[in-house]
Amino acid sequence: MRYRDQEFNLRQIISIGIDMLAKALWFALVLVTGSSLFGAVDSTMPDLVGNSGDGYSVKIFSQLSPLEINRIHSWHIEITDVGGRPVSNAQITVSGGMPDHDHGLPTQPQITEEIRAGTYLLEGMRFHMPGKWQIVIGFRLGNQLHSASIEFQL
Amino acid sequence: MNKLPGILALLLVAVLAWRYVALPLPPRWSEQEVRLIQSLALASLPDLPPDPGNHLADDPAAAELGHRLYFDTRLSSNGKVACTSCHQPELMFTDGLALAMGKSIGPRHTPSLVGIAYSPWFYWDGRKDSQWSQALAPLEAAVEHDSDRVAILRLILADQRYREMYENLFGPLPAPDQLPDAASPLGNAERLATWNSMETATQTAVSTAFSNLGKALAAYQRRLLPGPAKFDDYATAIATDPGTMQAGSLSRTEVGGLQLFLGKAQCISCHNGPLFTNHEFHNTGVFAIVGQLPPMGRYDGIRTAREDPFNCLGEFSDASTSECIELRFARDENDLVGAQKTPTLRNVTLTAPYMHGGQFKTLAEVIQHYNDAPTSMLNHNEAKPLGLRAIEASQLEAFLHTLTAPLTTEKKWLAAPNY
Repeated sequence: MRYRDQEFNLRQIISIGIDMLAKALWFALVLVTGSSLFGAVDSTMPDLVGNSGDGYSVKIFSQLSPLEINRIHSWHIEITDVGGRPVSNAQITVSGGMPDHDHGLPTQPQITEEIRAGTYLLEGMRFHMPGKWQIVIGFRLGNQLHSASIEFQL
Repeated sequence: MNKLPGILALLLVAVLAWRYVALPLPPRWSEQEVRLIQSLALASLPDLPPDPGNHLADDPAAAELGHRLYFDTRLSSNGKVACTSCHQPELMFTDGLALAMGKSIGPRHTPSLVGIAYSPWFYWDGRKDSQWSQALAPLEAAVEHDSDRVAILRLILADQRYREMYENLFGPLPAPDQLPDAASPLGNAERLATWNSMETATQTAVSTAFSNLGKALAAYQRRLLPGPAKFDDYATAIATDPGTMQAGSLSRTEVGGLQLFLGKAQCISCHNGPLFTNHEFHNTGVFAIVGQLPPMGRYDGIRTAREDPFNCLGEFSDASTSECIELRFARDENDLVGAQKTPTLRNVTLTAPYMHGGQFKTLAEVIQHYNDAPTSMLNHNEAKPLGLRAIEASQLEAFLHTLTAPLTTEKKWLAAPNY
């Protein structure tokens, strides 16, 4: 009995040991690869996406995520062409409002810099009502005007 | 022939029922309604936002100085007016009057100060962009304290306790021998002439010290925050069983009012978030104050704020340009003509009368106004008629009564300082 008890304990200890080792390894793996991996996943998941209808795509990364009402915040707006290449030096205008309420944005947001090729900083965004919002990102490239309209619910 | 009285009676009953009988409540809230209810609950209130223009906004010693200044009638020219004359703690920091009464009658209704530190804009027309900058204006307004920045600094210099408190926080005050008795760029002809005769360096030193008093007043007023009311208990109760309509704490009438608030009555369009305000400006067709022209509202307010030397971007602000986001990206377009700021609905039963000129004495009158949505005297009324039945108006009013509760603010701040 005594011997068997000891054997059982030994087995139990080995099993716990293996379990702990596995967890430690998993934790180390997450630490080494996960943080950068998950970080990269986050930064490629835009809050809003739109298309110009003529090949350009617009991705919005809100610096307040998830979006909520009554808080002023910034957006990073990424514009890419039909081949997925970043679009630099675009002259961008942002307008919008609530189509069901016949009013615009409560603020006058503006692009203040191109933070890297094809990604622009929009400052002064705020929404002041729950409901359906529409944002229109217009951009001029040379003599060509393009625009992407994005609808979302707050 | 003898059927006519019966038909008439039936018709009368039908009309009365239509006006005065409540519709049965649906068994459960929709997912969207549950989300909106939680967004209104005090539990959703984020931490108090920082005031980057006021580096002492959360300093307890600054709040104590501000507390004293707030209740001190010596800051007025006749020794009778203090901030508390109009913003009275027992009335949720309002005064119960249609138009404010400082040294004389003012042009606007006194708004509550509770939770206002969350707002990026101050005054009905948003002509101030910080609480500290707002606090300076009444001191020099002829209809309020009617004092001036030099006279007030002389009081601080003469009162040893004030002087010590001030200098511990902000450093030395301007030397009294450099100062006239009274002067201000915003004063009457005499004060203005004296101000213009002062050297620029002295003017700047005076305005800096004056702005510091505003920062102390703001450090105090930031602490005036709402407490959880019956509605918040209800929101907590339904959070554990999302979708249940009757979860105690609110009566059927009040729940019916909440449903209207979120839906048919559209109150939540502007009275949203845990403070029941979007801190924005809207033209809702409220009639002009008797004896006054219809006001330009936010259209003028944003222009005044941009020119204010005490704004976020000005030399007296502690904020960097990048922190003045609200001021830099504010709208100023024509649709803001006649727009006034959305007030909080928390404690609304204690803050009558209502609107920027105290035009309505009761909540019933306010609800009737929104139900009618009359044509605006200036620009256009953003609101549309609601078609509320009489019973619905009273349900809505009943709901508004569930938003009243004592403040969470420590008791010592709610009366004149005795420490």
